[in-house]
Amino acid sequence: MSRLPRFPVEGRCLCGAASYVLAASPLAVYACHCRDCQRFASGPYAVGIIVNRKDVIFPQAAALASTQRRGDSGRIVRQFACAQCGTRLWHEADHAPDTVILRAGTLDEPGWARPAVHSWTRSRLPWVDLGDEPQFAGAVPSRDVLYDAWRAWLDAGET
Amino acid sequence: MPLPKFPQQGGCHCGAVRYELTAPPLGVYNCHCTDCQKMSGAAYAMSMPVRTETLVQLSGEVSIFEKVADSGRRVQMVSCAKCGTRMWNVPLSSPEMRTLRPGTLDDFSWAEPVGNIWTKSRMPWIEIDAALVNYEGQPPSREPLYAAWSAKHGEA
Repeated sequence: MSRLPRFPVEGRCLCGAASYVLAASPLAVYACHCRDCQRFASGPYAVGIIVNRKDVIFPQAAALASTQRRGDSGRIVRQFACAQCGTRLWHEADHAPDTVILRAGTLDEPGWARPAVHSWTRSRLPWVDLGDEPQFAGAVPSRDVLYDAWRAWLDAGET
Repeated sequence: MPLPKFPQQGGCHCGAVRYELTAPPLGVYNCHCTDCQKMSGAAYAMSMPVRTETLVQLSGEVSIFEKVADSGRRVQMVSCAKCGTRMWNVPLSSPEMRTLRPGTLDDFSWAEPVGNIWTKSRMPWIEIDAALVNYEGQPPSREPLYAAWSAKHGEA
């Protein structure tokens, strides 16, 4: 059985003022345990879905507020949130302009978005079980590592 | 992990808002409700109920978004006005309480959750530890969660 939903799928903020459509399968799903993600999520990690920018129908700019931050990796990241309720929906980085990273919890049906890789585990919370997925103490060395791990997870579901 | 010395400090991502927690919380648990999933962008969020007088804002400006919970109760969600990091909730039905988002503490490695709520909407790949105090939906009372926390750490 496929581990993917039927696309398109939708997501939205808490108040519903900002919504998006993901039209095609993502490139990867991963969990980030960096302190920034923990702070924004108020949890042990955030779950990111890397998608091709062309596969997303974004909310109107007027519905959004954007902020910039420097990640633990040193890279500049732009985050986009609902201007009304403040729910962060996705972020994007200059070093990968063709992709954006959706925040999995904002999907209407997020259950399929299971992390295939854990990054920044040097700040992981000690009681959180990470399972058998690949782990990296800091940043993942390349996007290909994420894409390969996600593909392997999907392939395992087909057998 | 033992409790740290209080006060403990925390704040938003950009550093504009800083706060101090002057005493241990009443408990810590994971919330798997869909609102927490949306706001966290993750599988669940951690929640830390504290007494209002023990949470002291030290600096910065906050913005407030008010939502109506499934129970019909009104909750104010307090964020940094600059960077948008959500830091605590004000439940208008219980003004003596604040619900701190413990991920915003400078160190929250001591805040191991004693339970889970709204497990019926948990992500299918999340395993719930059956030895904890767990609820499928909203707990009728948080007292059992507080009792589990006290049993582990002593009275708050």
